[in-house]
Amino acid sequence: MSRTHVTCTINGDEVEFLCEDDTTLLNALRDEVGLTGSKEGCGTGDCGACSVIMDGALTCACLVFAPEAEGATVVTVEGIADGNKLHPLQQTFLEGAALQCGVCTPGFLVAAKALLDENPHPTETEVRYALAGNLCRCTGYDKIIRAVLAAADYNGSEG
Amino acid sequence: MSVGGTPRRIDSEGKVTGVTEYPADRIPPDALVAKVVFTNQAHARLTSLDVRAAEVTPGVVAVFTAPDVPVNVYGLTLPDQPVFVGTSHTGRTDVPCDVSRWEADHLALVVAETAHAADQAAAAIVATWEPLPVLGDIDEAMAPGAPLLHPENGLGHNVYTTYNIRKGDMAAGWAAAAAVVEATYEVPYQEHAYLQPEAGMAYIDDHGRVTVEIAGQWTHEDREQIAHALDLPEDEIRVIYPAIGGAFGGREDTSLQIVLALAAWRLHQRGEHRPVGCVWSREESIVGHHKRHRGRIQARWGADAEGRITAVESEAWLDAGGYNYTSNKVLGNLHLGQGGPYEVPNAQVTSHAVYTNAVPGGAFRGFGGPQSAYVAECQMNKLAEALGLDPVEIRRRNVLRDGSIGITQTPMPDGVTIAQVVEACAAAASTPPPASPSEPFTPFATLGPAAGDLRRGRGFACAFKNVGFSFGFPERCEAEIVLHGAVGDDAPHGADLFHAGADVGQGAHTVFTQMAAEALGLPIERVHGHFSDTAITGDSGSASASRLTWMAGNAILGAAEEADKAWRNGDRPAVGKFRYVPPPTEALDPETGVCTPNFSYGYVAQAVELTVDTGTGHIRVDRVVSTHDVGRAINPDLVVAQIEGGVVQAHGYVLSEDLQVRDARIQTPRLSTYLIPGIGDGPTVIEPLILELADPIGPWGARGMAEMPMMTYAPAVVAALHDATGVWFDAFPLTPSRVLARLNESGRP
Amino acid sequence: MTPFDYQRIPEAAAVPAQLTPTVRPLAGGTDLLTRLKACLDRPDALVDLKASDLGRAIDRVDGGWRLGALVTLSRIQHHPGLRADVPALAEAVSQAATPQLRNRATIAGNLLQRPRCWYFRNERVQCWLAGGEGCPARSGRNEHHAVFDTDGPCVATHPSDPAAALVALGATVTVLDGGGGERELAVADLLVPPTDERRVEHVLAADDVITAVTVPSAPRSTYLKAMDRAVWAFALVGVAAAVSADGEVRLVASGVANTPWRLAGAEAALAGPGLTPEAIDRAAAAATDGAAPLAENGYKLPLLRTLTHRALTAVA
Repeated sequence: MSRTHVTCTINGDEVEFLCEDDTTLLNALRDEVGLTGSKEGCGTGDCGACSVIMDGALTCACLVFAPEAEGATVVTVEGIADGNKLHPLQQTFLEGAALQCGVCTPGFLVAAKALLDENPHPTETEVRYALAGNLCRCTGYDKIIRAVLAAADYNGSEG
Repeated sequence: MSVGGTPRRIDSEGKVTGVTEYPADRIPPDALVAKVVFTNQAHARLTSLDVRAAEVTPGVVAVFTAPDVPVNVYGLTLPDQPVFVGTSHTGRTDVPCDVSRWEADHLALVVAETAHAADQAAAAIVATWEPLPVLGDIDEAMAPGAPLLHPENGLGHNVYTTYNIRKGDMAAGWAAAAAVVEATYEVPYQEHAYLQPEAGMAYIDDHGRVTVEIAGQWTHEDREQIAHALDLPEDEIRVIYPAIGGAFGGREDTSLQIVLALAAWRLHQRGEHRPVGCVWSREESIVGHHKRHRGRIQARWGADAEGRITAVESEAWLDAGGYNYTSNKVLGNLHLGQGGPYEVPNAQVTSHAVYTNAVPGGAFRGFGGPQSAYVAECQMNKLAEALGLDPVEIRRRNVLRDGSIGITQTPMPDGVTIAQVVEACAAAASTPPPASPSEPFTPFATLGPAAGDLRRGRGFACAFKNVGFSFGFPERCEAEIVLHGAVGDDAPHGADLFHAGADVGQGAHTVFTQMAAEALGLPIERVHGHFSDTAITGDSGSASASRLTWMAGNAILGAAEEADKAWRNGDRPAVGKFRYVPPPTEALDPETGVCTPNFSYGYVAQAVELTVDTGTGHIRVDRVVSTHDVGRAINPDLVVAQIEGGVVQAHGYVLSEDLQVRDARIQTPRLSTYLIPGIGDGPTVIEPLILELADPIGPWGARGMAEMPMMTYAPAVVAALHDATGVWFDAFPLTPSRVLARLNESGRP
Repeated sequence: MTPFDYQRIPEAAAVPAQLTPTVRPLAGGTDLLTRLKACLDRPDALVDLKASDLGRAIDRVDGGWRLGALVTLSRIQHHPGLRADVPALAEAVSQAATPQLRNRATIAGNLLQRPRCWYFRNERVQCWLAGGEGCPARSGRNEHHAVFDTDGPCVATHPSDPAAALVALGATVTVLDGGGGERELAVADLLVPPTDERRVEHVLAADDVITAVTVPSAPRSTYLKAMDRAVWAFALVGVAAAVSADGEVRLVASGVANTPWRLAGAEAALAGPGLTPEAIDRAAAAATDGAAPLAENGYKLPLLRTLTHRALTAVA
């Protein structure tokens, strides 16, 4: 088995790392790049805790091999704030207590960002449909939905 | 004011930015990788074990097996489980260690440089097994001639714990009954499915302590179990909980604690000082830890023409699996709930725990309560139907009140409020729901049912659940507060709070900080918490039994008082330590069950409205009014969060979660086959209704509440489904397949 | 997971010649990675088709649409032309999986995914389909298994929703082989029950690569799916109904057999092009003709009749 050199852009920074060919993007992010915000909840694409935005598309990093990310642009939960200024979604999740244990939270934030990037003012049904690939075992989802809708309102107030 | 307010969770910024560290995030890049090798045998005797090929696999550092464990047995409330199944061990336990009684029994721990090497070595282990008859369920385990899974207990059968209640005169009870309802109920497993699978690491800390960083529910109990297996003094073991990715009871028993501690300790003895980490896959997690018990309950209840209960006869069997875990305690809780939250003049209740070769049953939010509440409330709703009474009215005539004598023939603790909870829930449910926040989600949107296929129904249920440990189990909680300031200061400028209580996601550390701030009269930002590390915090007891706010609150109040005394005494810093001990409880009398079981209760009622598509079997819960007396909401936001989350977890239990087991083997160990609710599945409207009727001995009047939403949802949904279809469901989950099959076999609609 | 080499080949036309039973193509990977992780597949190398110029376009062609093999389910779901012209396909992809998976999964890969039978997927079990002996589902937990053609060696159901829609729509695939030959194959002929010699659910050889999927127009078409969750579950039963350009009604069920299952009895019961209420009732009743359910999945019969009725009503 060979080791592959991967160059990609993660959260705006060009990143290079060496990995085994069978390393998942999730493990590369966590172990090679040191970004442990993305979580492995299942390893099979069922829970969405590893969600990242890869070349503009919401993706389970556990179902991508790291070499597939060559040349790609990847956004993780660590990259959604603007420097020290939290993303509106982070702000509304925090203010609305839209988290409990917090393991699903990074994936929800990334998935919600992918939604709002495409559709700044979604309906509640659109929010549910867009977040259907993310499982939460603690909150019952209502606070998460309210937080995403609140962030969408925040988008509106920002013009 | 800190208590009653909704300050931001103290952990929320880290959680929204991704910097909060859970156990798997803490494992450093240079750590060794440990892999637990399961026996993969539901029931078999190990006749030989050869790990030589594994030990010489490139990259392997060590392979640990039974003889490496000084005392090769553990268990939270009953030590009946080998740390490793092995052909030989140190001889310091009576539990035969050469038998695998569960497919996820541990055979070995491989420690290697990489995960690949660990996997290869695990595959190179050669074990030979003598197959033994697999006891796949309680019927097989109780059949005449069934092999004994734990002959060492001397009982001569696999039914290893039985509790009784014998109250009043059953013949008189039946004679007074105008209606009798009888059924056999089957309750299913439930998998915790916390989003963070088991993970942890172990190392020797600067003070030479064997240190385990892991997610659990009770640091000091983990420490005790590690110390027992390693035969070390407890103060040579340290347990730290980083952020915990959910628990729900599933981390009450140990998972990786002992084997990781063993590895770090043994490697250290060999001069290898790197930390050892282990992260379970979802499959390993689902196969490798206990579940909410499945079981069977036969119940026969009678009531007079006015609807007053005259007799309760009930017998329950819980599938404990291969090992006890907390089954004997769960069974007690289930036992107490078999008569519901009602005045029962005549009762004959029996409850059994049965060893089988299936996955162990253990703690899960509600701890036996949801199973018996399902049965009791179905029985109550059937009595109401039989007598033509409104489900709320029949409860009004039977619920426990202040001064009531409970089913164990002792007075209820003061502050019995179930009558108020039932009335408040019924009143709220009779008003129109708030406007639905969205159009109904799939499948009703996509499957286009014809109007005639849709039936609507309403259901009601109520329950009580103990707060704190029951039946004489030692109950206590410690807290320490250190006040800072100069000698001349009137008041401290800040405080440190030391508390071991586990924040499993419910927000316990935020609530502790609020309570300390309130007790000290300090702003919340001036209280700095130090949590969940046995090296610096006293024993808190577990994050379970809806007890942590209640117990920690009383401990914090005591510590604040002690610290204040020290402050007024001129001590700087002023230290206050307190160990809170609640009123005592008692074990069940073996024959009659007479005892004082608990010192505090929480009370809950839920009203459910649903729609069922009789053409496909799909159920949509349109509304649930979830009513809780929480005594005092220390943090109302977090109370609502517990209700919403608990309701949806209960929704999965009742409607979609279906752990498929065959021949004691789990067939659905993935989140693609074990379906917890997604964002489109829960009730369309969840209405949390919070009452604050003080618990006389709760801190600021608070009662525990985290388990309560789990208690009544199953019977309320079943009652609503009966209202909609005329069919009773005496088993769940109510997946479309089960609903459709049952509707078709019953000839309805 | 068994270690393997990751490879890129820029020219799609050069890929088939490189493929062998142990050098396998990688497209979206949403199913392949789960199989690799469960050690069901142990390739020596994976050729990343996404690194090649294999088709990604959605093109209008005479009488329908041509989809490049790498078109993702998400793009189909959101494509206005496909939603209007082949609604059964758009509805099938939008009810499959999750946003994350649809963003990654390709239409060709979706057709070639392996069954979700939990015995087949269980690393601790070696069933016939996984190269071992016997079918543990037949006598085991089989609530989610097949109800048609259940006397074969395997009772797993085909997991694809789009496959049922594509069979109902009369779609074809274009296949490029290792010798440079190209052939056209109906999806109905691509997906066939596994046999002793070929324990997979399709007829492709190791060096075949699907390059495109061609879908005839059928504005009157739909796909209904019953599942255990509102979203993200495999079909308990799904029904695709399509009225072709010449007025023929095709009914194909998912979740009931090794492959998408043509409901021939129901089609025959329609007895003519008019989808009258009476004809729909007759067809729904005949949808389960020939079914032989297992111990735990008898519920699929009334479910199949319900969905057949609703699907026909929707396209009537």
